[in-house]
Amino acid sequence: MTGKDQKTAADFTAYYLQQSTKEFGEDLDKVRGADDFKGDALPVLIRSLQQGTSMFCAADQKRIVDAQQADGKAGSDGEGEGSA
Amino acid sequence: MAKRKSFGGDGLHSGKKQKTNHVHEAPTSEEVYTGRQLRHLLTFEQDLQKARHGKLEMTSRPFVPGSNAYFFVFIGLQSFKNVLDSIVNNDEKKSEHMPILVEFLDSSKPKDVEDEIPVYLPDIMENWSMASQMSNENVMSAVPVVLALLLKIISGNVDLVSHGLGICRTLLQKRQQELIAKNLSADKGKDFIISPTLRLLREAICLDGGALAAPIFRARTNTFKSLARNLGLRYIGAGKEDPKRASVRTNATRLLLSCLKLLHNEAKRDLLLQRDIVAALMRHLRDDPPFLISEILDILKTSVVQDKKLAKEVKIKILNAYSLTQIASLYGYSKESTNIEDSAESRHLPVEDAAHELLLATCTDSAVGICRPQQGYYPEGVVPDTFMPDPEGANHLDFGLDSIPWMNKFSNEIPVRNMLLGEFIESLRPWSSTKQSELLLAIFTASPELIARYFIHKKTFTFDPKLSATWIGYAALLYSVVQLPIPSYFGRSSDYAAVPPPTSVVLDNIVPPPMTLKAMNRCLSSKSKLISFYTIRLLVLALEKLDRALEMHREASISPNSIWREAARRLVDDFYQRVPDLKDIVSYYRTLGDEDFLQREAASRLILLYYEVIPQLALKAKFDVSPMLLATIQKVEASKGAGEDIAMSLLELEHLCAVAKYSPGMRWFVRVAEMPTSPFTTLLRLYTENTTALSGNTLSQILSYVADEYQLVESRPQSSGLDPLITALKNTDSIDSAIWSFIDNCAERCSRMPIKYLEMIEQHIEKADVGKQDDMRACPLLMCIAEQLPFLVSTPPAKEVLKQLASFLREYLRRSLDAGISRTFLRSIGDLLVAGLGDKKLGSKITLQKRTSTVDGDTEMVDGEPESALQSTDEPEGESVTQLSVQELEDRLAVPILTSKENSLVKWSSKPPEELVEEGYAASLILLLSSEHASIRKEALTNVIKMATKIKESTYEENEQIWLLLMELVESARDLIADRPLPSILVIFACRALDILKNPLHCLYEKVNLFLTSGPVWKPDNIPLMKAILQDGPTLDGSYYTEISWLLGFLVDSLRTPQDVALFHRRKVYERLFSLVANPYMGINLRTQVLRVVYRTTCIVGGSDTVITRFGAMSWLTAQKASTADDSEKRLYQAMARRLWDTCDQKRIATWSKGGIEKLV
Repeated sequence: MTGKDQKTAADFTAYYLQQSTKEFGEDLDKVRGADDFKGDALPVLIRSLQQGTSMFCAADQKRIVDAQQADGKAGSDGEGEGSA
Repeated sequence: MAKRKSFGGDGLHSGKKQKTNHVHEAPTSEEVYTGRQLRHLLTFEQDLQKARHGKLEMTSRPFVPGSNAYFFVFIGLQSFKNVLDSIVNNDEKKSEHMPILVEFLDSSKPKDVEDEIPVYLPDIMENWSMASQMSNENVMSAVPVVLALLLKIISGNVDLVSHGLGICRTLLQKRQQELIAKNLSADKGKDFIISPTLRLLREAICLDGGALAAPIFRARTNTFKSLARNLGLRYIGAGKEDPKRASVRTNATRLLLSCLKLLHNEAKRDLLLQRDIVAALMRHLRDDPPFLISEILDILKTSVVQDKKLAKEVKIKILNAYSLTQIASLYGYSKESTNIEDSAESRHLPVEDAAHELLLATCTDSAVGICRPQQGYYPEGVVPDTFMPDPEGANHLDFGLDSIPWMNKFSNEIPVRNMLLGEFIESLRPWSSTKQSELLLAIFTASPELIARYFIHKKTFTFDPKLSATWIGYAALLYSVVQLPIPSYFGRSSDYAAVPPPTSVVLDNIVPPPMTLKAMNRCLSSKSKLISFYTIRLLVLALEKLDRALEMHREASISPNSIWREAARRLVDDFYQRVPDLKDIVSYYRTLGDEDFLQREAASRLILLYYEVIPQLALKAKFDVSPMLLATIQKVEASKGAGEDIAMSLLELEHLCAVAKYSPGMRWFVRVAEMPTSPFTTLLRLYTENTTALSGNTLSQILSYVADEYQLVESRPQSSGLDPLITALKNTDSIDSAIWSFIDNCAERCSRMPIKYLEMIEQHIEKADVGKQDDMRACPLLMCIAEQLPFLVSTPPAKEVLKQLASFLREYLRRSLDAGISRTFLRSIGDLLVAGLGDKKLGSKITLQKRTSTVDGDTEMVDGEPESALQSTDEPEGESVTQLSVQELEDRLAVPILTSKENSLVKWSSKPPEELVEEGYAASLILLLSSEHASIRKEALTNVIKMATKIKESTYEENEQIWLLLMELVESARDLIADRPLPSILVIFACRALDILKNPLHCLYEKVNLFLTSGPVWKPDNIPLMKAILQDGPTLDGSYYTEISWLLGFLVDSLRTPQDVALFHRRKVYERLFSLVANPYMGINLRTQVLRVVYRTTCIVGGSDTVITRFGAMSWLTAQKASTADDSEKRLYQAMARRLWDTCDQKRIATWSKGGIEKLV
């Protein structure tokens, strides 16, 4: 994987996490409030969310990242884990 | 355990300062100045009470209540210890003390006496022995302390090693061994005796790179006395264990670790076989201080796991399930506790990381770890290499998969090779720890056999929806497990086995048992969006994995009836039972909001996978995708929101379009109330408009697929017929909605009546007289646009719209030309378009640009001069039928080419069977099989079948034979017409044979029937009846020449393309015909018929060359001319020769004949 591909993959993961927090904000809050949310729970939660990026092929990831950048929104939204 | 009261602070690094910490009264020592003094101090006296030193007497005082007998010994040892401490601590007195020590060692070195075993430091040993006898614990502790320090110093000083080895050998003597054993087995609370002894042993083992490690281990009855017990003597005081004041366990562990590090292979094996010691080492590992854990893990890794010489069986003795569980208990080991390490310990990884690394190496590396080779999805003990159906039942019935006794045995328990790992992984908690999850997945990857077993055993693992961290952990683990690839060949090493793996095992790997149907349905209907979303994602992965598994089953199956096929079917059947119905997925999809981009994308992806992977189940749901597709189209069209959101919606749209492709009920060309154009045109617009340049190839593939299916365009394997339209639309600046409506209207018409436009194309091509082109490619949609244009113009639209339309049409024609659509066809369409526009100025815009790269030299086709354009000589020379050299020759020899009547495809259906045969409707339909257009050919074939059925079911007299003829034609044509026209010889034969069959009195009636009954399929490279007529003789007396005449007529008609000439060449038809004429009884008519065959040959590209160079046609003509007396016939032959010359490649033939041919003409 070239550096550019890695950048695309990282950007896409950031987008995916950001979008996840938008769509599942309420549920994520509930999980964080659960009794068993301790220890490794936060990294496990983040990992579980970003697992979904594997469903997208590299070309589709690029399309979405390109669209995002074309829209001039990239950059400032770097780390997607907003509320989590 | 009692608080330690060890002598001299116990620590190896302890200095004098610690004397003050002593529980007992601090013993006094003497400053040492010489080795001699030191030796004197340590001298053994039988009478220990005797004063040896005046000064000491002065200061002497009892140090053990009730016994001061060992006081002087103790003073001596303490003084020696001070010397050693200063050297070890590298303090200011080291430089003074080092020479004293060396002097002492040299002077006390035993002399070599024959037959006497040398004893080093005899005084100290004697004192130790005496003290031990008298149970003087202070001296019993002091001696090993001093000796351990001494060995430590010697280890760091190469010059002194010989002294060290001597001392160690002395220690290995029986008397000293017993002293050591007694010390080691001291009461539990006497750690001040046990610990120094353990340190002494460790120093002895480490000396000189472990030179004496093996002998020390061999003396383990004494040297390892009570080791298992000592390993259990932990630090139990308040706070944390200080590494400088190590507990008995720490010292014992270090001794053991040194052994593991330094012992050679066999001794190490023996050591690891000491079950009590190994168990004691690993017991309650988590309670050990971090520095000790790090040392243990480090040695286990470097000296056990990575020791390639150590057998796997031996490694398992220490790395057994119990040990692995103990090591795994270190996950989550408090991180803070490692931070108090001193600098010497900080070189170790944090405990958790070290444990993780060790477990990874142990459990996943088959080369060095304990992981054994296994056979993937095949359970242990199963031999899948031979498939022997049940011998008793095999005579009559094949039970397939059910004949394999083990096939259905593994749904509740799966035997595995790596039982140890199987047990161990059950103790992990992968849902709550990232590292444990990582370890489990690594183990699964290395040993896929464990996956299904793990979930079968892990009954407590439940996927029932509950919004908690544990459920999220479960879901994440399941995602990773389903995502694991299927091992190649299902776990076999080099190829697929004869028998597939048990269906239940494969399925458990695709849909792990916790993902029950009930749980998934509950997840899908859960109030929590996150839970439903995770379930959808899991199902996406499961379907993708199933797809791969089925593909592997296909790869493995060698025959259609193979057991692998059966296994694949069973896998799909069982899969149905495990996953939710499509309608549940669809209902979930319907509940999603517009802003739920990730969820919508995932759900639509899943729906598509249902259609692609398990279409039977998907189609059962009778799901109408159109409304959703339309809604998504509208959403994308509205293009609200951020770029990435639109891109995501486009992905969703692509999935839905692909679903629509599979839905039989999808109405691509029907407009609905809320949309200005049909879904097809709307998608076309979305795809081509600049605003949605983000879309991928999927949309264009789907559009092309639909356009092909509905015969809007003609595609080739490498290029879609829709590409010209797409490119033209993309390149046209702006397209008015009226034009889109027009395109929509045309697409809809064309999809509804494709045959109408295909026939129109035929007519146009005929008009343009280009029937002999090999690969004629046209476009029904263009034809339709040309036909409909006048209606649009008559409305009439705005001038601007017309302008746009003209420029779009011009672009469309140009792109079509580039894409390989027939130039003639395009020119004809261009004319129609120009006429349709009715505006000369606009018409002039529809101009095909001059193309310099074309072979045939295109000329511009401009409005107003279509005639000149048509007449331009852009056809290849060999094809010019219209170019005639001798009119008379043409009149006498040219035979019109058989063509199909208009509307042959549809007209026949309304005619009675007799008319079909007698009036030539059947023949006309058959001729369409050699059409240039694949779609026409396919349509014709279908109609021939229908016609055959119709005739067979009728009362027509010859119905059986005609049916047989037609069906044999169909069988022969079925495979041939897919990529090229049916060879003329078959088409013409079928037409001609029809004429014979309808007349039982025909002289060839018998031969044709014999031919038809001789086989079901006609060979395309054979000339039917030629041999029967030329060689077998006539069926009826006197009908020989009639048969010959029929054959010649048949041959002329069959010559239409270069391929036909090639066939004639291969079957040596010309040779036979030329020799036929040598028959003096043959009349002029038959001779002329032979000339007609030659004449037709000259009309085909390369035909003249073939007959000249391969069959000596020129010399044959010359000979014929010479042999005939009739002038008109002579002229005929001469003209024919001329015609051959005119139509051949003259340059080539002139070279070939060295100018001879030219002279003949």
